[in-house]
Amino acid sequence: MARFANAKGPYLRMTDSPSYGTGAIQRDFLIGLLPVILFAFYKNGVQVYLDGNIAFLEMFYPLVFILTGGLMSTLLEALYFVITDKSVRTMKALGKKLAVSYAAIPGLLLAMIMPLYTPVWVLIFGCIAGTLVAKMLFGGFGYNIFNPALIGYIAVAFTLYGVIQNAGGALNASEVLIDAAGGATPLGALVEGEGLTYAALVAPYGNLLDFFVGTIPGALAETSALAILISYVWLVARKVIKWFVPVVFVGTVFVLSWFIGLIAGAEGLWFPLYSILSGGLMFGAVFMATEPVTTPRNPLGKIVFALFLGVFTVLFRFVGDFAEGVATAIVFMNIFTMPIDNWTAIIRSELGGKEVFVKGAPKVKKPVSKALIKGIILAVLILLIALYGVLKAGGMFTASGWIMPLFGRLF
Amino acid sequence: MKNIIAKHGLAAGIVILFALVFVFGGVYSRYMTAQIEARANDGANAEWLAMYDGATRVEEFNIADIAQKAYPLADGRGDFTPSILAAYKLYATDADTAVGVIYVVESYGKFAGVQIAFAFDLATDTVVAVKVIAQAETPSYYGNLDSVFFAQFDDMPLDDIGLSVDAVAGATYSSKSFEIALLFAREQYAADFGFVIPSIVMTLNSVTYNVDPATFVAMPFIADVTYGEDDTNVVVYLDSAFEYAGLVSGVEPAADVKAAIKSFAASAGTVSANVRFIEYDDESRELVIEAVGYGSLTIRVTATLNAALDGIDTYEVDSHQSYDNEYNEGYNHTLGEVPYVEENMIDQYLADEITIDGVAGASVTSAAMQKLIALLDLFLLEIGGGD
Repeated sequence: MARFANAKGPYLRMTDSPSYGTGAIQRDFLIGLLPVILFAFYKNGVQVYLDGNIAFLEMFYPLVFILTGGLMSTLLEALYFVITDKSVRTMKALGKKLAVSYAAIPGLLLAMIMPLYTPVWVLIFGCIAGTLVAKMLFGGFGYNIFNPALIGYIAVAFTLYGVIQNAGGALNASEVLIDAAGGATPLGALVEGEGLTYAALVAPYGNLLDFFVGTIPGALAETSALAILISYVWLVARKVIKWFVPVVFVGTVFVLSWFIGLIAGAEGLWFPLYSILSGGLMFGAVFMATEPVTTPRNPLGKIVFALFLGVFTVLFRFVGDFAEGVATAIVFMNIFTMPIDNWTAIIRSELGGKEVFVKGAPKVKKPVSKALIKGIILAVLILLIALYGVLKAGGMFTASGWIMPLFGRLF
Repeated sequence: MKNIIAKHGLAAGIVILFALVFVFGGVYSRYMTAQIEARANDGANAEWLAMYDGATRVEEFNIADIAQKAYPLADGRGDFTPSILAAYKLYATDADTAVGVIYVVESYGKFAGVQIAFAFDLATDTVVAVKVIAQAETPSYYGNLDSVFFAQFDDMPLDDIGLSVDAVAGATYSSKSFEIALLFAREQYAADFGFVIPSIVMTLNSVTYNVDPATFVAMPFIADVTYGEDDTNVVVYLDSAFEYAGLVSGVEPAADVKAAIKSFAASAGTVSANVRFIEYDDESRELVIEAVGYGSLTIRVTATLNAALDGIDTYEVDSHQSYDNEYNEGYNHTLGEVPYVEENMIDQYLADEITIDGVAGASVTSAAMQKLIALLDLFLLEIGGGD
């Protein structure tokens, strides 16, 4: 029997109802992480065990590592609450507080984007930087400006990367025996100057289907586009994330990488596919760029934010020294979340509404509004950064110039 | 006590839990790191063992100190001083006597960073395997190093006085990197295992191009050497691979001397196999010379000599160069279509320029043309006294 609302609006959507509050979103988000966690366990634990390269108990290390990240960030947050807030110095109160503060998620996400053989003390250092510095010192859940997991990741990557490499790095016990990979992840091969060729960037790891499935070297849980897509569908269906944010983000990187490939002589679709299927782009697009607190709230703002993420990821990834541009791009754009939210809200309200025409009244030409100027500024900024990133990156991968090859191949 | 527990128990519990995770997590990750290091070592060792049939154990060892040595790069691009990155002894059983040795050598091809491992058999003093550990060469050129190239290393004797590596067309720089690495690995091998590198007292007086139209195709070079205790002088023809091809004057030397001549002439750097005479027709006075330019593509110049044979009446260029591939940005559109560079440089020569300038934006083509013009000039000088 159909149910109708009898009262006047506004109505609460299911996602806004008390039964679907922060706790429920957190639950759905954790369920969304499961396919990716399970694949990480399969690829770095079960499969390696089946290959005969690790013992039975060693098989569980990927799971233990990820759970350790979640546990550590929860403990850190709990400790912070207990020290700073007298009202939560009981188990019950603390439990209630932690249940709605996404306490485990920064640590879980951080562990998932770290190399498998990251020492636990390094993971804890990342959790401290992410949970305590980037989240709790800003006021806790809902007040943080930066994505906590990514702040932890960047803190580790910029200070202790060598320690991780010395401890074993990203390659699991099966991958470390594969000579073709030369000890590098697919994105690492790009940074090592292997050149933009299929033979150098894709072939050593199999083919693009392997990239999609995720059986390639990389950080613990970010290699499988397939698993991430399953998570994506779940999160969209549960309305935890907006469907278009990852699509715009990944799509922007795809298109810009395609242009870079054209300039550098890597024609065809293999290079843009390689670009979106390697590194942490898919993971970042689904789990990080959609984070509710540190990204814009209105839909147009989210799209603009995702566009900027795409162009900055390309810029940082291909022009910078650090192969993984996703984390840097997201954290950098977190700074601009509020202005983007404000500007796009103005643009939506002034330009998005329908014009009302009164019959017989003279048609008045609308003056160029501030909203339009803001829109143009944002569009020009995105285009300029994208253009610079593409031309700069394309020029880096070819010994020759870039204009004529690009135009020659395009037209 | 109760008060203390009630007041600080939760915080203490969290800290204890934190410490436990820290300790046990740390132990677990430390254990896993030890495991992956062992696996990585196993993997590396397996690679070394695969280079010597029957080897069951590999052990890194400290090499003897030897003097640094510079080797000329291909095409006179200067010298490179190789170094030994690692050395391993191979054992066939658990016995203490090694059966083979591996040297990983840092060499230089088109670019730096070529790392090549050579496995030598200690009983026979031969090369038993070669493996490229790392390289950053241009893929399209490096790819020309095929199985035939690598096959030449099979059982290659180290006591060959003219130890050298036959280059592959289209990958001459990369080929040279193998020769440099092999020669230096042999030096190290000699120092580590008492191997005596064969040598011969020899002075290379000159190595020049053969300008005799009757023989210059098959025997493009002439070497003049003095060797032995009694300063025996011999002038010989060499083929394009610097192998002995015939006698000009003196007594035909023994095989070890021929090998030494090859080694000396190839490393002299004064002549290049990348430029050569193709043919000369006495009646029409047409001389054809070919040079290898950018991308291993050829430039062929057909010059018609004047009646006095001391200059050129006309010339034609058949070039496969592509300046666009080299420096693009519409090079052709600003300076002219191929063979603009080739004709520009020949015109400089015909205008009696003392120095033939290259053309900016086409340095590889220009270098090839400079060699080609020098050869043309040499021919005119010999045949007609031209200047």
